Amino acid sequence: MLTIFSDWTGGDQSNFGNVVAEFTKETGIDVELSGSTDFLPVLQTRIASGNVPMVAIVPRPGVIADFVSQKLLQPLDSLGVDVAGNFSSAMASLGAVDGKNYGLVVKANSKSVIYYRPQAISGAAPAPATWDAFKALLTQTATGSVKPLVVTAKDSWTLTDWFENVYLRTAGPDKYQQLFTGKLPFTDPSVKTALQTMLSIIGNSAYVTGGLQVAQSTGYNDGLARVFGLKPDADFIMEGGFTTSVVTTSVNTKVVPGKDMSFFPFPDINSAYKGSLELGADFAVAFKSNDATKKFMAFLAQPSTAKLFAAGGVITPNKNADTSALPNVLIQKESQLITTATTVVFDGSDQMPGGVGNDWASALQGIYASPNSIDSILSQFQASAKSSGFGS
Amino acid sequence: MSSGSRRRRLRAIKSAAGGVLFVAPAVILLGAMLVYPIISTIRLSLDTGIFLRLQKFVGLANYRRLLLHDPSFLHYDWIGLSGSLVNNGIWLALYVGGCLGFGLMIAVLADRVGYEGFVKSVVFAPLSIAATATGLVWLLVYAPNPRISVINALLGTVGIKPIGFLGNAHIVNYAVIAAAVWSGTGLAVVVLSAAIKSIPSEISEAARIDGASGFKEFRMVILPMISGPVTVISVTLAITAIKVFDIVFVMTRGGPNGASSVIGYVFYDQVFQRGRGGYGASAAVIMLILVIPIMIFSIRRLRAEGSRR
Repeated sequence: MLTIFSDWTGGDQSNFGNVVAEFTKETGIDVELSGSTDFLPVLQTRIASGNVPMVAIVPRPGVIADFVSQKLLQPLDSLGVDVAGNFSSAMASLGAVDGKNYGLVVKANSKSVIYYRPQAISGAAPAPATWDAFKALLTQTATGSVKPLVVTAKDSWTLTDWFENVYLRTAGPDKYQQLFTGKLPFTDPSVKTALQTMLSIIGNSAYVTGGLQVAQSTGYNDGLARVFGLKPDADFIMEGGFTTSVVTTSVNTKVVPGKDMSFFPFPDINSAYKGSLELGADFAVAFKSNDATKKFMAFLAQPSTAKLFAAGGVITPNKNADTSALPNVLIQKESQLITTATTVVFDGSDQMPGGVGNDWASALQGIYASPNSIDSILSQFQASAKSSGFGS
Repeated sequence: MSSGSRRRRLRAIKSAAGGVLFVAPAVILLGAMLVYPIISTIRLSLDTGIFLRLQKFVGLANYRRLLLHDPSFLHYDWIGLSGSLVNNGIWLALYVGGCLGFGLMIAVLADRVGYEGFVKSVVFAPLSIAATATGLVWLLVYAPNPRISVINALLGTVGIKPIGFLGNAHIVNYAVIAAAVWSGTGLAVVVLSAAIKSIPSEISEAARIDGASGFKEFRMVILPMISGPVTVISVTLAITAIKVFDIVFVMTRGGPNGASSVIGYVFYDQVFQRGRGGYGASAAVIMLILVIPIMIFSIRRLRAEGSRR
C-alpha cells in the first residue's frame, strides 16, 4: 500500500487519480490518495503524529527546503529515479536543495500570463509587447465606469506574482535569483523601482476594476468571476496557467478556452530581459524509501506518465514527453511558452522559506494599500526576514 | 483492636475506594484531555518546537520575541497600539458590548410586543449557523462587487461607490466583528429574555405605581434583577472573543497585511503554516493566561451566588 498526499483538489485531483490508477494497473500496488489545497497544516500535523505519507505533492521549493532541513525527505538519486534522462538541468534543479535533488517536477505552469475576455476586444487579438503598450490597451478597453483590469489583492499571493513578473523584467533574472535567495536585500533600490513600475498599472485607478479599494478586497476567485463569470464586467486578469482549469471547473463551466477566454504573455518592460518567463510548479517528494515509493517516483519520471498527465491538461516538463495530448488551445499555447522562453525563473515567494514568503506577500498588501510607505515597509520586512534567518 | 473499630475502618476504606472509583473517570478524562495538553503546550512553548516536535529548549525566548519584537503581535509607538493582541482587545470590547447591547435591547423590546416569539426566533436563527458558514455568508455581504454584495448594492442606489470592507486595514476588524455580533446576539437575547420573564410582575407593577417611567423601570428594576444572567453571558462572550479564530480565518486570513489577525490566527499561522510549534504554542499560552482571570471571576461569582442561596 502506497500513501500519497497532494495539494491538488477538484479537476487536478481526479486527473491525478487516473495517473495513479494506471500505476496500480502496471505494478499491482494499491494506492491511498488524499488531498487538500491547504496542504501545509495537514502535512505538518501528519509529520508531527508520525503518520507521514510516503509521497507528497507540494508546490513550494521553500517548503521542500524546510523538510530537508528536518531530514524528512529522501534524495531522488537514492530512489533510483532517472531525473537527468527525462528533465533538462534547469527543470531538475528546481527541486534541488544544496545541489541534491529532492523534488521531481510533475506539473509546471507559466506565471507570466494575462488572461482576457476576447468578446471585450474589437479587432485583432491583443499582444502588447511593452509596458506602455499594455497601458494603452487598458485605456482603450476602459469604456464606461468600470475599468478593465481586475486586481485581486485580497489574496496576497497574487500580488507576489505581479511583483515577481515586474522585477524579472526590470532588474533581470540574475538579480531576481539573488533577491529571492537572500543574497540581495529587499532594501535594494531595484525593488522600489519595480514596485513603482508595478503600481503604475495595478495601483492606478484609471485601469483597475472598481478602483483600488475594491481591488484590495477582491479575492482570486471573485476576480475571475468578474472577467469570466456569467455576467462579466471586467476584461483582464493576471495569474498563472492553472487559471484556465480553475475558471472552467469552478467559476463558469460554460467557458470555452480559446473562445471565451484567452491570454497573452506578460509584456516586456526592459528590452534587455525580453522573453523572460516566471514558472510555478508542483513537485513530488518522497518521505520514505521503500519499494512502492521507489517504483512510484520512477513511474512519475517516465515520458508515458507525462502523456497521461497531458491528457488531463497538466503540463509535465518531461523533455521526452508527447504534449500533443494537451486538451485545449490555451494549455498548448502555455506549454509552448514554457518550452520556448529564453529566460526561466521560478516563482520567487515560493522559493523563500514558508514563513518569509507569507510575510513578503503580507508586506506587498501593505505597500498596495499605502504606496507612500514603500521604504518603511521594505526595511521592516528586511529586518524580519533577517531575524528568521533569511539573507544576511 | 475491637471488631467494631475494625469494621468501622473497613467501612471507611470501602467508602474511600468508592469515592476514588466515582471520581476516576472524571480525573482520567480531564487529565488526558485538559491537563496533559496544557502542560505539553507550555513545555512546547519553551522550545523551538519545529514541526511540533521538541527540538531545542529556548527558555522564555518565544515569549520575549512575541511580546517585544513581533510588531504583528504587539506593536506600540506614538501613533498608538496595534497587532493581534490589540485586535483581541477590540473584539473583547465590541463583540461583548455589541452582543450584550443588542441582546438586551431586543430582549426588553420584544418583551413588550405581541409577536415576541417570532422576533426571538429570527434573532436566534443565526446562532444555529456554524461560524465558518457565517463567515462565508458575510464574505458575500461585504463583497466589493455591487452585483454580489447587499451593502454595496444599497450604497450604489444612493450613489456611493463600492466599499472594500475586508481590504481596508482601518475597517476590516469592525466588519468582521459585526458579522460575529450578528451571529452571537441570539444567545444573549434568549438568555436575557428568560431572565426578564422571571422578574416577578409585582416588582415591576410596584415600580410603575411608584411612578417609574419605561427607562427608569429598566435601569432601576430590570437591570439589577438580571445582573446574574448578564454576567454569565458576558463571561461566555468574553471567552469567545479571546479565542476567536474560525470567522477570521474564513473571512480574511488575518489580512490585509495582518490587520485583522488575532491570537488564535497567530497560533494557527505559526504552527501550521510556518512549522514553528514553539512560537505558536507561546501564543496559545498567552491566550490561556488572558482567559484565566475571566474564569476566576466567573467561578467566584458562581460561588458567591451559591452561598447566597
